[in-house]
Amino acid sequence: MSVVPSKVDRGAVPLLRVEDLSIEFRTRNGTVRALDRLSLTLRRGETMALVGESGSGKSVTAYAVMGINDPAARVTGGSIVFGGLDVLAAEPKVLDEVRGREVAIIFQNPRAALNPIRPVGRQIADILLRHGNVTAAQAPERAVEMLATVRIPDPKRRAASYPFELSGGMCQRVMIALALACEPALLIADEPTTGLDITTQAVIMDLIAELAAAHHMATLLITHDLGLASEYCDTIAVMHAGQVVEIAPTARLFGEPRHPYTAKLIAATPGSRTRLETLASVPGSLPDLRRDDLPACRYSARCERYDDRCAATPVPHHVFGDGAFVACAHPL
Amino acid sequence: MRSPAVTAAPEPLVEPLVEPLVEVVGLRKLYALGSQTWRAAPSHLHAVAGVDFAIARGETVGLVGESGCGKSTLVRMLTRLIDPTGGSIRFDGKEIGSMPARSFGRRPERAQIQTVFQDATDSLNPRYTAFRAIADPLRRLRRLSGKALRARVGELAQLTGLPSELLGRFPHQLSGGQKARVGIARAIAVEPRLLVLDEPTSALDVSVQVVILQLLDDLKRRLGLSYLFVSHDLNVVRLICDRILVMYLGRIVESGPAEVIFNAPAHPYTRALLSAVPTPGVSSRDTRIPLPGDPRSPIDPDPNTCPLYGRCFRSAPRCSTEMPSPRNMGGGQTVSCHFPLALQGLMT
Amino acid sequence: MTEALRHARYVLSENPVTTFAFGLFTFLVLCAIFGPSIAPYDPLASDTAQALHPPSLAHLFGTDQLGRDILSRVIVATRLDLGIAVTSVVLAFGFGTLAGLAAGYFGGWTDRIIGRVVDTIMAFPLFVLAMGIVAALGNTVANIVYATAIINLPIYARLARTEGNVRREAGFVEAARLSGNSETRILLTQLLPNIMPLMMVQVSLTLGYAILNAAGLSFIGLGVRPPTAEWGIMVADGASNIVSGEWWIALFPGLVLMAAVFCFNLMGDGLRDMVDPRQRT
Repeated sequence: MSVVPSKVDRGAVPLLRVEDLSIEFRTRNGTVRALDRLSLTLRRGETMALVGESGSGKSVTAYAVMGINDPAARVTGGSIVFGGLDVLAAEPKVLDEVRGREVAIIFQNPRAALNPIRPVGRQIADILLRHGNVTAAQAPERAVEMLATVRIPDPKRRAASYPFELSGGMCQRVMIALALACEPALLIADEPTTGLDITTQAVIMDLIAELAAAHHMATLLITHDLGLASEYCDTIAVMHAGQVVEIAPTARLFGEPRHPYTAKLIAATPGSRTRLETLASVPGSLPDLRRDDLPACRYSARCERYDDRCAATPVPHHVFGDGAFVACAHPL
Repeated sequence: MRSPAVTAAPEPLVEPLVEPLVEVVGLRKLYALGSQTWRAAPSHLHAVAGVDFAIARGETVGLVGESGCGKSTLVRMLTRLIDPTGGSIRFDGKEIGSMPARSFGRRPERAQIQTVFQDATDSLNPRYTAFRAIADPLRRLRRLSGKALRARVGELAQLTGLPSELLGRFPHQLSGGQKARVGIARAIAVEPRLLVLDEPTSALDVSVQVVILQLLDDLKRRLGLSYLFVSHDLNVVRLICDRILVMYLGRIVESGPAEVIFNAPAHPYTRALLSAVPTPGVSSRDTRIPLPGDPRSPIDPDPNTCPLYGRCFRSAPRCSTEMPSPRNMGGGQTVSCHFPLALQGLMT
Repeated sequence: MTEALRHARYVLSENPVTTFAFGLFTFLVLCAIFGPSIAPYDPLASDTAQALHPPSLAHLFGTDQLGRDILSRVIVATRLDLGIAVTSVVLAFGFGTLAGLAAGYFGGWTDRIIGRVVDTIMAFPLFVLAMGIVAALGNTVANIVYATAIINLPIYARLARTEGNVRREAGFVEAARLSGNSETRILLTQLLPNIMPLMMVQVSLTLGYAILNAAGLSFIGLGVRPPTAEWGIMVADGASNIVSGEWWIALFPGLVLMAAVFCFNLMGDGLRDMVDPRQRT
């Protein structure tokens, strides 16, 4: 069986470029401006964390990159170029091919994302067959190999199990196997360890990191947990209310945060040395994204460094040498 | 003349010489499994396999452990929602473990022990307004009504930082932080002595978590409460707890003051758990201690085998022939292990 | 309360079909209440000289074999049909919901006993069971109501049982126990309000079945007795006349019957939207 030629150039530099992406959602109560001129780039083999609180637009970004958007979503500007392919302009057929093969996603609730009435081995085989990498005869064996790669004990027997027979951690491993079955160039992990025990979380994240390194796969990790981001990612992109406020290499982000929100977020995260009195919360709350009169910088209302210059549109971007940037009129 | 021993550790907000508020001895919960008609001896699931601990007045005790360790069952027994199979629970000097759970709601002790839930688990009735949710225990346990009830609810809203205009809202109209406050207001409404906090902030954003934790700390001092803080987030536990209990497979494998447990954990499981915690700015991947395999079965466990045997990096033959009993390591630290990691810092 | 009304208005404004259904329901209720006063003729007065007249200005729905005005009879029958339907649904809903909820919540023997009773009722073809009950006890309106209530009870019991079972371990149930609520109190004050939206949809559907059941029983002669005006009887009366060309005797009661059932079914969704607070704001 001939392998279908890929529509995506894995060697493209950068692998993923999102530029000025803006997305709106039409809801019963108004239009939610979920993303506002979001930009980020990801190189082959790079691991980036997309960090932010709930409502910051992290998942929306991930799904947009995958080309799977809620029917109520509307892209009002910007572009997503993945390996030379314009995701927003691509035909659904092309996207179907790309999804699973060049870019894969791991979801938050593994049990819910797996088909409950199909044995896990078959689900992996399905993906393999779908993307034409193997023959029907080879698929079951490859599926078992994938289960072994994600370190599921007794993979041959487990391939016949249904999701409900597996623990949360095991289901997540199956999800990883599904995602990696076709050796994608980009892996998106959307809160992959929420709900898992700490030790399981560590094992799963270690596994993802190991496999990503082995396959030279780029990883986009979506999380609200700064500790997780710092542990597993080279670069961190901080999001607030649909905007990326800062992107920096991990070490520098924690040592020298440049955006006031980043600093506040770090100050609110308990670490090994913090004390309750020294923890600080971020003042105010997320702006209502349905408003027409949102300021250029959506953090303005909560920021103690706010002044008139912050009303300038668009928010000034300061770009630094190491690929970092901060979107702020008054960076720290 | 000999000088009196000087304690180097800072004084906690605890009065150790007074009788503890809660004293649990040998607490067990066994669930019978399978059909009991023709089998000679039915199997039992040992959810809690014999637990001893105490909570002093004004103390915050942290309970950590992963899924399946028996935390929830232990907490349910402590709050008298289910009956223990064995052991005793003394609260304020009185034995409450033998009081049946079914009728505990009618006793005066019911108001003394309350719980704050993780807000994500629908702990608020979706068809009740915030007011009604907070008023419920006041109606049932304090027989308040009318003006007195409204006044008390208003007072509680103020105490927990909940704007009074939100009292008429339903849970789906409230943010995570607001729901958390409602849950806390409800729990402290009847002036309990012991508050069990079951993952109270794990569903909250980190910024909201700070506010809620500070609120809880403030309330504890103001109202003279004792806390049992159950959480999987070890960094949070470290922030707020005076003492920690580490549970594994129905037993407390280690207990001690928070700083000691975090800096010098003696039990291999505690060590492994701590090595798995991701902390911003610190890489733990190199010092990760794996726990290979799955936990042992809680069904009819061998009473002579350590629960961690088979996964523990310090396993030895003795671990499968003799169940380790709790031994005092000094400084308030107790560990159940034949080969505790004594006197070693976390970095070694 | 005003919040509830405001929400009701919102739902109606969003959904013209529901509004229509509610309007029709209101109209039917008014007919039921004021029936005898607004009917142009005495529904029981027979005037053989006027028999079998097709619809005309004097008799909008025509007259039947005994010269009775069909329009008047249809209007007056509304009270009876609606009355039977509503009463039996209230009984089925009341007993069924409580029994099912208790079975699902408490489990054990409560569940087993209630389950067997419900299973027994459901084992019979429902209409046949209704026939049997009425045939055994006699055709009084009360017996029709009981029969209809019994055959509609299982569906509430089953629905409530599932809901009770699912919510048994919900966080707010535990919280209610900690607040000193007894199990019965939790059932009635915490769980029951939560399952109401689902039950509401079922209520309107059952109203439809109940009317059809009463009309059906009357149609085969086991229901209301002549000369009482009732839609089912009237359809039965007119059935044999269709062949001889007097189509109006069966058609108009049939149409009104259809409209009533249609209206109840449409109301179901609207009611649910109104009652469920998650749909608010």
